[in-house]
Formats: sequence, structure tokens, C-alpha cells
Amino acid sequence: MLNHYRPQNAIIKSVKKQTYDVKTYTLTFEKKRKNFSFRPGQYIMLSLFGIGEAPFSLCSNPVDTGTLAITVRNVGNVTKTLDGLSEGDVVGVRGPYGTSWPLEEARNKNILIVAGGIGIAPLRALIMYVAKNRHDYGDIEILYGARKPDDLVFTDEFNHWAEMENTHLLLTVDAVPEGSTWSHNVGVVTTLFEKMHATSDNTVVMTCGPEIMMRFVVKGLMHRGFMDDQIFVSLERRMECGIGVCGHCQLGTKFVCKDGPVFRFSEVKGLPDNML
Amino acid sequence: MLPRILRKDETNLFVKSLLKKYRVLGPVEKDSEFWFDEIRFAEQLKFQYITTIFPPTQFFFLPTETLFSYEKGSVIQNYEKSDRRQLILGIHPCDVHGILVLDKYFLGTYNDPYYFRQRENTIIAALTCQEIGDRCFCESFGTGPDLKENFDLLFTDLEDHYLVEVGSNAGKQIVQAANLAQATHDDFTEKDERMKRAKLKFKRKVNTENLPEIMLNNLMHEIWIELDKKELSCGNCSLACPTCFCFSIHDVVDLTLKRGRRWREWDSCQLLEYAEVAMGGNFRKSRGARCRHWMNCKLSYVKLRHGMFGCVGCGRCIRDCPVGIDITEVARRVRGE
Repeated sequence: MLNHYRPQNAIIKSVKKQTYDVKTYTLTFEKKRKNFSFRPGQYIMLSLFGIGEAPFSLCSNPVDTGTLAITVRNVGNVTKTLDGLSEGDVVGVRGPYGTSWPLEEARNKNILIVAGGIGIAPLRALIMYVAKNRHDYGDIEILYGARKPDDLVFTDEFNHWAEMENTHLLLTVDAVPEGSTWSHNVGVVTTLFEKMHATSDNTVVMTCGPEIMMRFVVKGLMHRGFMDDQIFVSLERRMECGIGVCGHCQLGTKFVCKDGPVFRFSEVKGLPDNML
Repeated sequence: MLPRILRKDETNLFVKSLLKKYRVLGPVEKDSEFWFDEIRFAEQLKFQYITTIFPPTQFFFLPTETLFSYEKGSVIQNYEKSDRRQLILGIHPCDVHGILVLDKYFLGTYNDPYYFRQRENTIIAALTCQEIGDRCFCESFGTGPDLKENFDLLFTDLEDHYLVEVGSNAGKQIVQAANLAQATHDDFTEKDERMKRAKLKFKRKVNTENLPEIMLNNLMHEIWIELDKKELSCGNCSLACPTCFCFSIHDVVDLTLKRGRRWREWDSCQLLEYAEVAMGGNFRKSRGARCRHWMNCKLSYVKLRHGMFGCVGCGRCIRDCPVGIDITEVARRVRGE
């Protein structure tokens, strides 16, 4: 019987510094995994022997089956230890697990992406996927915000995103500290709604960020005529098993690790113990 | 297979024959309470019990368990080989239903190999209930006092002998090996009578009609504010509950820092850290929210997800709550009775 608790070894191929506390790690399996594939929005459990495990959204191009990448902020036990690792070091990987962004449902429709901080990670996988299959989708609009300019990740890809066919990128930060330069919008991500082209017509919304941010994103969009079944949210919860058993990620009747992390907003609306 | 009978004066002999073949688990008396424990000799077994202190969960989903060990960054051991075949004797219908709830989680989309190994390896020889405890309410959930399926053997006390119903091949082999005599029609009539009488003894009842929906529609009920002030967040209820399936996973390394193991242990949603995420976020920070989650899991979520209630009516959580929180009262209050 396949033991889902047992991770497989993966080697860190490269580490890229994104911000002062965020790095992107590109991994490749030690023993080549046949048919390893994932869909944008899914996550892996990253395992550091002696430290523990934590879930991370896959942020790499799903079409590339040889490597996978995660973008990690140094905030806890696992991430702090990971921060100390470098190229060639070995980590454990389980997964991919969970639901993905609604690639089929969004086909031939416009996509509105709303991301906050490191919440862009699972959406970057989506952007890469859509870029490869550009003609299957309508207009793309990316609304991306962070606390300060130096909290934005994937900054070196912004130009590429903005230059994609029929794609509109809007950036914002909550505040600009003295000494920083910033030529885009200032304000929380929902202030970009004033400037976006997207309407509720023929559009699928995909959002990921702090839950409190998504609460206002959903609220703002509903106010603009979007319906609760055209908005998809990616939720964060404590996950220890990743396979719908250990219970920690429970959100009412849902197990975020297995039924999510990507949910149609109408599925989770009104469930207890969330901020949405 | 036709049911058999086991004469009471032959019970010890029967158990002795089981002990030769199986690791036998059953109710024993310790410190004037009843516990499931490994049986060494037949006389230890005490079938006249109401509810054990702990549910039999511990024999299927172990309180702590090594998932694997590792050395220098590689898994070196998956999981251990099967133990000696075990047989749990005298388990009540409510507790059998508790195992059925665990099955839904551990044997769902992803099989949990550790649970599966124990489950596959265990023969269930259940015992119907005739004495009903003050805190028992299994009848409300249809999880007792009788059992219709999901057993290998089912015993019913008929005064000087037991009626032994057979529910599987494993059970059939046992009664054949023991050469038990066939039961008569009268034994069945007698069992029916006794079950009817038992059902009249319940003092506690829960109206389960539309209960999952009612619980879900009352997330802001005043009772959750009351319970926020009352509950202690001790987690006793989770330890006592036969359907609680939550666990946490830990790593431990030895002094060389090169070898270690990953293991899991029972966890409870009543504890503060349970729903904590990075940077101090916590989706169930208040005790009221945690209590509401536990109650809804039992009375709503499991049923909505799997078609069976997460409560089997054993009453252990009522017995063990230091501040007297009573799940049957919660269900009544939320319903508005």
C-alpha cells in the first residue's frame, strides 16, 4: 500500500532571493518520479527531517515536469531551517495535494487575478500556465499588492507579465517608507478596483492572500456585481497530513487540504471560523 | 451462517481457546472502573459493564505511533510488519460505530496504512447492551443497544448462555473451531424481548431529525457565547470520544542528530495551538469557537460529509467534562427545545 506519509527526497537545484525574507527554491526529485505533474493552485508538503513538515503552494510552471518550485517566507520552524539550506541540499516532498484553479471553467473567459504579498505564489503557476495556453483564455488582469515595495515578489517577471497579449498588470503597496521609490498605486489591493478594466461579465476571479484581504476583495467585487460562484479563493490553514485525515485544516464541513485549498467562494461562504 | 450459543459455564474455555490464537482485548475492571485491555487469562474479562473509560480507538488509531524512521536525510524504515492477529471481545455497538466513523477518515481517498494494518488485523466480537447507563443515548443515533452488521461475532447475554451471531468468515471459523451448538428460534425471541426492554431504559435522548442542518444554521446561537465562558479547553472530550480522529505529527532526533523518527499522536481541536498558522494566526482562537467546532463535528459535519453522525451516544464526553458540558443538552438548546 502506498504510504502517503513517506516523503520522497528532492534536491535543491537553485535558490533565488526574492525579498529580504522570501526565497524561491527550485527542486528536482532525487529518483525521477514518473508522471509527476500538478495543476496550478496545488501544493506540496515540504519535509525537513528532524524539523517537520509544512505545506507550500507550487509556484512553478506546471508544464515543466522535471522541476518544481516553491516560494517561501521565513516565518516558522520549517521555513527558518529551509532558509539556511542551499543548492545541493536534500529535502523531502509529498504531494502534489489539493484542488487547483478552475482551468477548464475559465477557458474562453477573462481572468481577474487578485493577489496579496506571497499569495501570488500559486497564482504565478497559473499565470505561467495561461501564458503557455494564451489563446484558450480571454483578457487577463493581474492586481497585485504588498505591504511595502520591497515585499513584492517575482518583480523581475512583472515586465514579462505586462507584455503578455491582452494582459493588464496593476501594482499597489499599502505604504511607501521614506527613501523607497514607487511609481504605482498606493493603497490596499482593493483600491485597484477603481482602475481595473475587468467587469463581472464572462470573468473568473482567482484570489490568494491574507484571508482578511480576500474578505475585502470578495466584498468589493460583489459590490461591483460579481457573483459568489465566479470567485475562487485559495485558503491557508494548518495542515499536518495533507490528505484529509489529521483534522487541523477543518473549515466547517470542509478539509482545506483535500477539498481545497482552492474553493469556489460560494462553497465556503457562511462556514464558521473563517474571515471571508 | 446460523447463529450459535455459548453456555456461560463454557465461556472461560472458549476464551482460553481464543487466547491461544489471538491477542485478545476486552473489558477488565481496574480501580472500580472498566477499561479495554489485553487479556492474559479468561477470568479477567468482565462483560457486565456499561462504558469503558477509554474508547477502543486506541487499538486501531494508536495514541502515539511512529510513521517512519530516518537516517541522514533518508527514510530507512517504512512501517512495521503486522502484529499477531487481535480480537476485541465484548465491545459495545456504540463503540463499533465509533470505529466505522474512523474508517471514513482513515480509509477514505488516501488509505492510512497504519490504521489499515490494525483494522485489518482485528476481529470484532461485539456484545449487545442490556443495562443502559445514565449517560447513554446510542438509541437516538441508531448506534445501539443492538448491532445489525459490521461485526465478526455478536454476543447477546441470555442469562445462562450467550446467543452468538456470526457476521463474517472469520467469525464462522471461530464458532466452528469451538464447536458451538446451534441456537434455536426461542433464543432469537428472547433476544428481541431483551432488546425491547433495553430500549425502554434510556433516560437521555437526542432528536436527530435535521440536526446537522439545525446546527449549521445556528452558528451564532447564544449557547456558544455561554460555552466560551464555561469550557476549559482541556481536551478531555476528545480523549474520551470514540470518533475523534485528529492527530498531530512530530519529528524527534536522537543525540547524533543524524537519526530520528517522525511520529504522530492524538490531538484535540479543543487545544489552542490546533488551528494555529504561521505568524500567530489562529482560526479558532476563542474557546467558544473551539467548543462549537467539536460539537458541530459530532452533530453536523461528519453526518453531512459521510452520512453518519460523528456522535455514537456513548456518553463518555458528558462523564469526563470537568465543567459539565453535555452534548445532548447542546443539541436540545440549539434546536430550541
